[in-house]
Amino acid sequence: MSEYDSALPAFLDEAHELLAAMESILMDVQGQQPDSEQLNAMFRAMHTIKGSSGLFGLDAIVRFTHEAENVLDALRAGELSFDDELNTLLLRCHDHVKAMLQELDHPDVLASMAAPPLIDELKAYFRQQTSGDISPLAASATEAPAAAEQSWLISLRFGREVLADGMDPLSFVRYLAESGELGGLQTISTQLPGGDAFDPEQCYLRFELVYHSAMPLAKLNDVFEFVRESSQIHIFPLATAGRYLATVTQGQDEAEQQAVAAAWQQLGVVIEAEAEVVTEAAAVEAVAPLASNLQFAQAAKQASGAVARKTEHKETKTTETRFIKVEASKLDNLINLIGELVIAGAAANLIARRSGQSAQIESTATIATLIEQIRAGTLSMRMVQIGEIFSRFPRVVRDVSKELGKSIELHISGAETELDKSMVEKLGDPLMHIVRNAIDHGIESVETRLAAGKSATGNVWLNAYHESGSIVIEVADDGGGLRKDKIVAKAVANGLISADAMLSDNEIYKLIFEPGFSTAEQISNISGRGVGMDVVKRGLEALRGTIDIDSAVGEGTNFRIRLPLTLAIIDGFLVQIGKSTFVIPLEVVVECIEVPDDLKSDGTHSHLNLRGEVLPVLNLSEFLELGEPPGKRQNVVVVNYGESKAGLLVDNLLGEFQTVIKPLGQLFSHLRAISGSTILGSGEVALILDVPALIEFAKQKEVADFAGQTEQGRAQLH
Amino acid sequence: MSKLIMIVDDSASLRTVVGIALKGAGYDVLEACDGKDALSKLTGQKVNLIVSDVNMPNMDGIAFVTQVKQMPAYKFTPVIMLTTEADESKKAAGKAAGAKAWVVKPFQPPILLDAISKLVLP
Amino acid sequence: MTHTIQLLGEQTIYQARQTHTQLWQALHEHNEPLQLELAGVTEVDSSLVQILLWLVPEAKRLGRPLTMGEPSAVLAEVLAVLGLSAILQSEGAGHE
Repeated sequence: MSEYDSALPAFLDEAHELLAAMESILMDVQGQQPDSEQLNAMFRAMHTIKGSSGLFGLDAIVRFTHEAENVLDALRAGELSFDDELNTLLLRCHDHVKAMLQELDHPDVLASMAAPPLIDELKAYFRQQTSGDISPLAASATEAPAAAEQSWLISLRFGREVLADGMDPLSFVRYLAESGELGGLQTISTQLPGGDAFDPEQCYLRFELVYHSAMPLAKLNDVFEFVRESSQIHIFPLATAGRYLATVTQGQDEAEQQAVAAAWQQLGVVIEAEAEVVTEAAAVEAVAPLASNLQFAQAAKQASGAVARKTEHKETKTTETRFIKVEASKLDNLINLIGELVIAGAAANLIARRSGQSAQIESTATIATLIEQIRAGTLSMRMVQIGEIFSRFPRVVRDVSKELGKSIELHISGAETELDKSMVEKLGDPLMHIVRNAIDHGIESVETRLAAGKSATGNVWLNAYHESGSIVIEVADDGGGLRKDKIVAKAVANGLISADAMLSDNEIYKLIFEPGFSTAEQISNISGRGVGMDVVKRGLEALRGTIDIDSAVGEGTNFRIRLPLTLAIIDGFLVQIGKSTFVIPLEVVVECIEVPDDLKSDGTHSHLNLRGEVLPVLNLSEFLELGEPPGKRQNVVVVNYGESKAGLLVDNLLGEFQTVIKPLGQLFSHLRAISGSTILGSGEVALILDVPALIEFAKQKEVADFAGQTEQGRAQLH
Repeated sequence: MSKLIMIVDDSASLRTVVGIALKGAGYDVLEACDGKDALSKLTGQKVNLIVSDVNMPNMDGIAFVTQVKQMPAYKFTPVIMLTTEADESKKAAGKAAGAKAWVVKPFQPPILLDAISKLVLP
Repeated sequence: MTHTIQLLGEQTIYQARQTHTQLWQALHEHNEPLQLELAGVTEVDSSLVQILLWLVPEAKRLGRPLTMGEPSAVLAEVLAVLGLSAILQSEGAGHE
């Protein structure tokens, strides 16, 4: 199978996609009857995986999917009805196929998975529902052992329609010549009418030929399988062919009979006297085409009706998205190049502006607009709907709640919200932990819920939306809420905090993300092993994300995850501090104001009264220890992140700039106030400010100021 | 001049594998992912043979063949339907629509190659 | 004067109707001997063979002298396989 190995990744991709579609349908229908489109989609999942597996010679997968396909086919045809039991069986089929796909590298394991007990369950179910049996998979056509070379007489009287059907009688002769030797061929055209009765698109030919080949008879018969129904095909061993002249000319006119006899003589066939005696077997063969023609005509009638209905149905659904699969690395390369293009474009822009030539400025501006569009377009190619992750959860919730004996309903919204593909992949695990945690720890047992006057069924909500350049993902439950007292007690017991620590609600909640923390009184095998939530924290930090928790005892908990949309390029806002240039992500910039007179300049930190709202202001020059005197006219850039706002004191505002984020490298990875660097059009390097970290710092300073401990926050940052 | 074979199937991996096999045998290959896509790619060029799946989204193989057989430039182009053995009615419908040849899925590439070479040698 | 018809390029079922019509008209609408050039045929299937099998007796029936030129290699090969090479020189062709 090696020559097809290059297609294996495509096969796996496709199979996983089909399986995901099948699973989501099975989860969606929950207790209802799937509609015909859903049934078709599930059938197609098994059908396509079976077909492709066959191509790769993955017989075990073929055998298993064949059974599932049959059940789905019966379901599609209305022979089976859909119920919970079948839903569960099909979900398990899905699981099994998925598991088999994991074992492609282990043929032994794979082979042992071809007929799991699940198949017997499927069959039992099928039998019980239909009192029939699943049609077995026909043994794969094994190459018949090469026979010794034999000589055949082949009589081919083609049907009138074969030419119009696209089958050229010549092509069969050519095919024969490829795997044997033609020992002579006589063309008979007595059926070909003279004059105007001749229709050049009809076939009037008949070939009588001698063929020497080692091809087994079955295979030889198969050569003509596509024309067998419309034509009269006879194959005899050459030695005994002579006695079948009557058989092959039965019902044909005198001219044709004579022509065939003459042809046979030309071919060296000795026509035997008892030619009139048609043997029984031959008679059956001669009659068979007639019978199948009849059946065929009936089937065709039914089918054409079905076709008409089908096309009608299909036309209502024309706007379907079509996809091209692109290797992720190609897209990454493209995005890198566009990053360079953005920088080069900015440089050209700068030079044009300096030159002061309006034509040049105009043309670079046009180019800049186009680059912007290309950039947005390319980035959008990386964007996928978060539904890709969300779609796993109905299954998880179903399984986990069953296991725990809880009744839980999952509500999903915002599944169409888009984010970067690379983030989707990394987001799956953290989100899974949070959802499992919500089911296990959040939602109470049925008794507890009823006692508290709540509905027996718990609710979990998954929601996603865009907010100021970030994507926000919420996992909420209407369970018991986080018990602050328990968390604090546990944290103290585990030595995470000291007994007299003063912590805000949010800080207390965040303790659950500390390694080794678990509050569940009963350790179940779903979560509560004390690992998991710290994985969440680390996973999200790697994505430059943050998590907030809202909780009310007895009402529920809401985890709010906030992530940047993409990791590659951002719209930046350039500011100057002294001689250095910094980039603030534009999405967090709320407004820019001139420094008001009443701003106290007391070093790193001060306050600003913005239309009645008091904001902490961070003097970046001081904070970053640039050691430069403040400019004459300073500005404050008001930034926000999540629910926090702060002001950043800078010298000059340089305007918007598209920024390609270049990672800082290991050496600087401990710098929390700087998230990356970029290259300006002039070739200078500018650092990108990590606004969430700065806001955090500004807030901490605020608290610290209050407590008179000025240096503490800064020490944490550096 | 190589013969051009069109392969119509919603499974990208099937198209890829069949494509590799066909090219290896000396054919040129044109791929389409469903009936609609295939019709849009039949723009008058000579196609020597069409291999089409039956079960496809958007436009299934039967509807596709029905349309192909009405296009002057393609009405005589032989069509091999990819059917399943369970689907005798689909096979009959395919034949009624004009696809007189078929290969039963699942198949290994040589089986399809063999069927094609009965109708069109490379 | 002879009326000459040249068959060129692909001569398969797709061209059969048109080729047949062209030859039919040549037989019925002209009086000169008919000369059929076959050297430019690049692709052949059974439909052209059938047309030739129709043409030869038809020309004879209508009393029109018919000559066929050298076939292209492709056509010659097909006629040889089908045992029909002789049709290009059949009686109807009227050697000159």
